[in-house]
Amino acid sequence: MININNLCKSFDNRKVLENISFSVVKGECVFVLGKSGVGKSVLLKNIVGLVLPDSGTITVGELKVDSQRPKELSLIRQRCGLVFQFPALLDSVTVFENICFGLRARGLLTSQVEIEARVKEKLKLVGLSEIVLDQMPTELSFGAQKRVSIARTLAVEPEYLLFDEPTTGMDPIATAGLNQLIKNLTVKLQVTSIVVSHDIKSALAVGTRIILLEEGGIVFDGKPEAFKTCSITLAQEFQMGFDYHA
Amino acid sequence: MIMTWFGRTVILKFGEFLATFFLMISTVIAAIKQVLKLKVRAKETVSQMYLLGVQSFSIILVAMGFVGLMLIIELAFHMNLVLKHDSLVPAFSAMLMVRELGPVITCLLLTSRIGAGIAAEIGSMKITEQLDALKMLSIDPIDYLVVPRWVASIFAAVTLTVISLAIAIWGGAFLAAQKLGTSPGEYFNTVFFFVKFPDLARCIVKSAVFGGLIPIVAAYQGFNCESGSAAVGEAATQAVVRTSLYIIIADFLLTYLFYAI
Amino acid sequence: MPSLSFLTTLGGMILFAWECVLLTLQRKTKWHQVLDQIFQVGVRSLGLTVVAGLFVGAIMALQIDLQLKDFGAEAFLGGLSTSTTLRNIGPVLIAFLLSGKVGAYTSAELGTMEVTDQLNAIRLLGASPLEYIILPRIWAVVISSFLLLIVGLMITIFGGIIFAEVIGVNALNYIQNIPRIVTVWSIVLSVIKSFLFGAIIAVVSCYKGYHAKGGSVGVGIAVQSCAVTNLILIIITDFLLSMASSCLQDIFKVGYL
Repeated sequence: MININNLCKSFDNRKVLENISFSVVKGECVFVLGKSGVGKSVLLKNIVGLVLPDSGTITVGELKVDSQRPKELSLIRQRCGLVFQFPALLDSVTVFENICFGLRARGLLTSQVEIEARVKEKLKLVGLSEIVLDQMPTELSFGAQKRVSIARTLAVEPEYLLFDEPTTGMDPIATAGLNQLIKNLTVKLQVTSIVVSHDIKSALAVGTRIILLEEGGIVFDGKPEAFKTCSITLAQEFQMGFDYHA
Repeated sequence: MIMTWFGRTVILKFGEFLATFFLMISTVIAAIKQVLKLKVRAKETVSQMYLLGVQSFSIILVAMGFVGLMLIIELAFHMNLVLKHDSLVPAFSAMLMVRELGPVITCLLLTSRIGAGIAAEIGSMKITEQLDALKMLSIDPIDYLVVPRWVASIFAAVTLTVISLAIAIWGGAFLAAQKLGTSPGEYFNTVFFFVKFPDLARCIVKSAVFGGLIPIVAAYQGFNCESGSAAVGEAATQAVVRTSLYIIIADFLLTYLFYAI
Repeated sequence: MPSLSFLTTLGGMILFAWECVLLTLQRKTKWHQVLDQIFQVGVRSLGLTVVAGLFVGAIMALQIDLQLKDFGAEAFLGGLSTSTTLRNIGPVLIAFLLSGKVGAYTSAELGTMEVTDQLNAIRLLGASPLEYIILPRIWAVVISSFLLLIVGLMITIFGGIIFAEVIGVNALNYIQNIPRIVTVWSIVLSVIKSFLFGAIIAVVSCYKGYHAKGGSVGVGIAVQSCAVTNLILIIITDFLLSMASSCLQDIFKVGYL
């Protein structure tokens, strides 16, 4: 489980996160919603230690996120897979090399046959054909790059999946596919996931729990059903926006 | 195969050079129009003078001070080797400084200081569609962005060259007194005997030409920046490389024009 | 406090270089990647180096010729212009151009990787970006800048000869005069300078790219500050090396140092 306790973070005197506390247990799929700029991405980067908190503690399983203990930090990073908002594929190597990068770097699989099988399996999972394997990342569309990036994270089979706005920039069909994928992972494989998003539709469809952030603090934490009926203005605005688009 | 590659590269580079030259002519015309219509963008020009000139001041002075010192040491070595005495070192170093290294090294430093910045700035305006927004407001980007930078850069190049020459020659006087035992009086006497006023005038013309090149080449790279996050860095890099090369080639041509014909 | 921040950067760069040396000593360098990069950098920059070398050689021949005429010592043209170019002006000016072509390019490439989270992705996938990305590049830039500088310096000699022929100095006289003034130590000094300039370009550009932040604007800033830092450090190192050579000459009382 992931435990976040009194997390505070500010950049140049601008407070981004203030006293954030919540914990995520195994098999949950938590959607963190909020307007742009309330620090959703920063929250995810804090969990894997890419950004360090000003105060407060974060534990992943029994391990504490602490830059002073690089060994534990690398263990945490092995357990968590983070899918970045922008694909962050290495442009100097092919799609295949990108997906198997983590497998090789950690020495999880050694035989070429196994690696290829794993890469193809994950590629199928995100709904891409095998033609892309020999292409360079820049030759793909943004949506395809994003799916490769998800396949790269899934390839090392992490216990915890952290998604940073996974559906932004994807077409509706790909979005539906990705939502189904997250749901399958949660239900069948009992993967714990935290999804940062402002896509209320996906949150209501896939999430087992919704956390709403406003100006650094948590204003709502509960089931999607409760979110639909709650009286908080921001939550209602989110749903009205959804209704409006629908 | 290699010849076609070579030919294509040469043609491409030459095309780019022509396009840059065309941008330069448009800039000059826009500048003249501004003066004739009495619509000089004084505010932008002054703020660019501050950004381009004043902020580069300390770096260039430190660097040119070291160049002045280095020249004294190296020429002392060479003079002792060739003429077996070092009384002509001050004159030789001051001449080399005024005629050649002063304008060239100052403007190369200025290129890396401001060329990359201008290209990155205009490049990111291009990819965020700010340039299109300017055009929609019927503001000519050359008139609004390039002309103030061009004027400011020429001004900065000339003033910085003259000041840095003074620093380099003074630094030379100090080192000559320490190392060669030439008294400052003697030093400046020989310097002023050999370095004449036309030398200084030509030096100013050179630095004005180099200073004028910097924003034009940089703006050209910025205007032709492609989209994507890698492209802005690429434009900045190309601006520095192209400008430095053009400065060295222009220096050769100008020296030849001034002294050898 | 610009001077203080400059010193902080300098300290950061020295630590960065030291870390890379340590990693190399632990045999973490992937030399086939280094070779690959050297080839890429070399092919990309060779044309520029050749053109720059020709012009620098010609400029120095022209300028020294003018000055020697003032003093009536044209006979020394070949040796004096070649020696000045090899010992000082050549390495400095060619390194200036390479710091743009090789250095700024590297820092833009690394900066883009940093601001698009590619380096973070490598960290999360359990590899060290320092080992996987930086180390091959830093060695490739050191080696290729060094080789390019040496090639450029040879071309300057050639440029001087061509230009001498153009202004009517007999090329044979020019060439015969070269070994009278260019000593072995001068060549050693210019090789040392070339190597150090290559190392400066490599460390500065990798450091600046690796520490870029803040989107595409951040990459632009990294490129600019990489170019400026390179130039300043090259000029200061050039001065210090000339000073050291001159002091050695005084201590050992050797005329030809």
